[in-house]
Amino acid sequence: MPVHPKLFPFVSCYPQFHWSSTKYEPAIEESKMLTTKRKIMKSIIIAIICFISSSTFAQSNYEKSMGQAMGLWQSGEIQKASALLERIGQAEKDNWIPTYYQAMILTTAAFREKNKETQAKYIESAEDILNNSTQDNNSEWLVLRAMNKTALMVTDPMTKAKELSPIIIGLYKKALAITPSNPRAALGLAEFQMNAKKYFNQDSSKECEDVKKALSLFNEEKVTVPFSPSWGKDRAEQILKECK
Amino acid sequence: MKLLLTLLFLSTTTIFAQSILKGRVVEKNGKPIYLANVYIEGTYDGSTTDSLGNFTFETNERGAKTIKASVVDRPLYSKTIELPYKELLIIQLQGSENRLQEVSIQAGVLQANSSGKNTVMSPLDIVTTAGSMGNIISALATLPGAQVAGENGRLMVHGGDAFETQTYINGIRVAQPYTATPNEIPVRGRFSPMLFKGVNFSTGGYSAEFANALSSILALSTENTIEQPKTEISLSSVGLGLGHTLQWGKNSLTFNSSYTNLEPYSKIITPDIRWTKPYENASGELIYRHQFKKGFLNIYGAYNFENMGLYQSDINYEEPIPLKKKSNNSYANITYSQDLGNRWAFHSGVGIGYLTDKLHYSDIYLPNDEKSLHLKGTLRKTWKNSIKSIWGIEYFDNNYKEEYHRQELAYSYGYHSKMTSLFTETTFALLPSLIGKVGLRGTTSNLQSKKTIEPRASLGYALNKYTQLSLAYGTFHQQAPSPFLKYDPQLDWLAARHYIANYFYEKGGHLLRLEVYHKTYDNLIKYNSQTARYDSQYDNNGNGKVKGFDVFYKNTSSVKNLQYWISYSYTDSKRDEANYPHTVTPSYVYKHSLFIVGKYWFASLRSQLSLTNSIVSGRNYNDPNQTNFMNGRTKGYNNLSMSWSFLYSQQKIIHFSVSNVLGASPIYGYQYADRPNTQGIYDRRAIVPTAKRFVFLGYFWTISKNEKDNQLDNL
Repeated sequence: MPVHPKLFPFVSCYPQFHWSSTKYEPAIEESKMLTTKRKIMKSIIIAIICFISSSTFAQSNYEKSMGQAMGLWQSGEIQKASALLERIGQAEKDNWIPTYYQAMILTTAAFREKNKETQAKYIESAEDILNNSTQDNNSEWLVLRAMNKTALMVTDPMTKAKELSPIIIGLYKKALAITPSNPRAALGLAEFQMNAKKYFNQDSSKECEDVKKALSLFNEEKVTVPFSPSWGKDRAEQILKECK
Repeated sequence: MKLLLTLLFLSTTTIFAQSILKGRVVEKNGKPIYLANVYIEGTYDGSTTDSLGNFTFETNERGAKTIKASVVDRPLYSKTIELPYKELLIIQLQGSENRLQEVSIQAGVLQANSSGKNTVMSPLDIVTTAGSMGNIISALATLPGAQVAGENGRLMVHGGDAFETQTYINGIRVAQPYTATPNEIPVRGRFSPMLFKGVNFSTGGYSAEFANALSSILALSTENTIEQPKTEISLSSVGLGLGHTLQWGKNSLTFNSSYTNLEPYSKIITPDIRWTKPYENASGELIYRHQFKKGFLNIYGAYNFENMGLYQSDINYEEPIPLKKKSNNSYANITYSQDLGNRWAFHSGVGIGYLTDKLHYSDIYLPNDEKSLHLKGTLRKTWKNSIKSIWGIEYFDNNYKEEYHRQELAYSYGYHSKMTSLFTETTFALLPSLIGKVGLRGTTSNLQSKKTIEPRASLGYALNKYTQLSLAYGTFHQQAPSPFLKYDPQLDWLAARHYIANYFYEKGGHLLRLEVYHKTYDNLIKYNSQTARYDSQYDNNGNGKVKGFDVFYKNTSSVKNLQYWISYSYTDSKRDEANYPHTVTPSYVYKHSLFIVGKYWFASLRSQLSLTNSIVSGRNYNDPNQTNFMNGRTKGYNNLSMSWSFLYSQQKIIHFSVSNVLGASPIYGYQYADRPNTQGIYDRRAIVPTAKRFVFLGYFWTISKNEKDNQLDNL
């Protein structure tokens, strides 16, 4: 189930930014397949174990609900998807993924939102979630923080870019330092810098190389935990096409 | 198999045990709430309300369970019910708590900070406003209620004199906020504008936290965050600057140094000044920040050396008078804040300043020094988001000495003031849309016999999300300024009373701010000589009244990449002070002043063009040849400044600015001779700008560690 293509708009950084119309599909497909396989498996043994092990029951409920949330997101129901993820998040206190997606949905919605007030609300709500300090060393979380700051920056790049762009770059770098193989951190950093360079008519071939590296990281990436972030590969490919 | 069947049976009973929970989420007044998130705590069971506030979901849960309802910007609703619950569950949310952040008191408040809400400009505007030349004070002059006197560059607010404004950094007073200059050369703010993340400029009615100012407070704040490492280099037509920030762990250390020398500049573009030693200024700043687990330490230190020499015209002498001035200024500001838990916070600070000034004026030698100390401690407490209070104690120590030498003649004078204050202030939400603030300050001083008690109060009312009305009242006291106090330390407190009403509207890139005020003065300083001298008789028998209004409109949204603001102030100030025989409008007040500031971003050129046009009406002056006092009136004038900033790359900026593009020749006032000439007429000399235009060309380069290339090489 591909997620709505426009949900992942990527933006350039300096005063004038442009929307990329590129398809950007968070690779939930893979994890979805994983889910489906498991579902079949489970349906066989469900009668035996599902009422014995409540945690396993929750696991399946988790996947079903996460799937629902993704579906709501796809159909543009930002608030409902966010609410469902909030419910999953409070039921699965030790799992960061539901809240990650909640913040992700709000952040990406902020990029698209035209109404300034709603936009600010999305950014703030996502920021509240992302401030959770227990995730300070979670590479994916930091990438999302960087995206949230980027969303804030593009609301008023003239006044905010100077202050925020080093912070954004710092977040991507920290994410890379924690998990050097995180392709989303590599891609995010390369694209952020590429957009700045393009704006100043500077050569961005260095960043193209970085995107290549990010792409090879995407190819090596293996998703083991259902729904763990795996988006970004298509975007990397798209950018590479523009590089040539 | 038997087991499996049993389990299957169990499963069916569980399925049968599923119940439906239905209900509605409504406001206190019964209005439905859309998109409320209702769920059973710790489970997946829940739903979002529809546009009529209805929700319905299935659950397997039984027994006593907690239902939660979450709505953006509201406290989380929580209630325990017994499941299955057969009836319709009506969840009535309490009217959103009376929260302080929803209304703010705008009366007398002008803010420039990066949060964007309720602010009239951003910190960047201070640098990019044409004509400001990177000077905080000049940028503030384009705001309503503020005026800067062309001939001395000092900030005057709501018809008050320049000394009536006090400057604070992180809540600690700065005794000497301006650079030193000879008469008739405009001073500048001493502090580099980019250091400050927040500028809070009050045009009156300010908080009980601030003392010893009759008219206005300029409160600058640095951000309580560790800085990112970077290096900043600037080169300009008048000097150079270098800054470097180091960051390690929870520490950051910034050095800033700058050197200004007008010599090369004065050789190219000769202003109407005969320099013997063109103005030279070397300054260094140091900021250390440390983030503790629950506290923050900020140490700011600044050192400033200035040196200049020139010939100054004086109507009483045929030849211009040689003048030399050297000044050293050191300032340290240390603040510490700590979160004490349970919504208590502690802030404390120390400010230490030491200024020495050596002035040679013809055959007069006039050295002075001023030592100042400010200690302050405050406790803050917030209750339930709806009440917050602050208590504080502070001590000010100012020791001023001056000597006068002329040939054999020598005497010294000065004052040593020790002032202790206690203050408290409470802000509370009366209704969700109405907040009040009540404060009280008491001060004793060794110089003035009377203690002062200063009540202050303000109200803020939000008509709707975009519109706020506010009122402010307060009484304020200030010691006489140094030029008088040094001759007569026994002078009593000067007093003022402010009444302000304010209308504030902000929506979708439009901001409209209207303010009317009335201010009364008591105990203003009077003296019995032509100028304030050491042998004059001083008293506190003066008084005054100011009334006026300000209009401010800012638009950031109508035309893409264009922002502009229009600021108009009407000031009707009548004072009986100094050596005035009766109440008149003082010479430093402009009745009308209008500023139009525009900034346009040329995306294709990566450049910002900024224009500032100011129009001010004429000012009064006293012509001793006429019988009526203060009967003269200078002509009003128009000043157009422009600046062009070019972003060469993300880190490199080229900035060019010119003041007075149209070449207007304003006359600020006249200096009349102390004695009439042989025909019995007092001669006069016009006070005019020292240079027709000021041209500035600068190159700014930021090297941020985080912006280096090759960050992916080590993968």
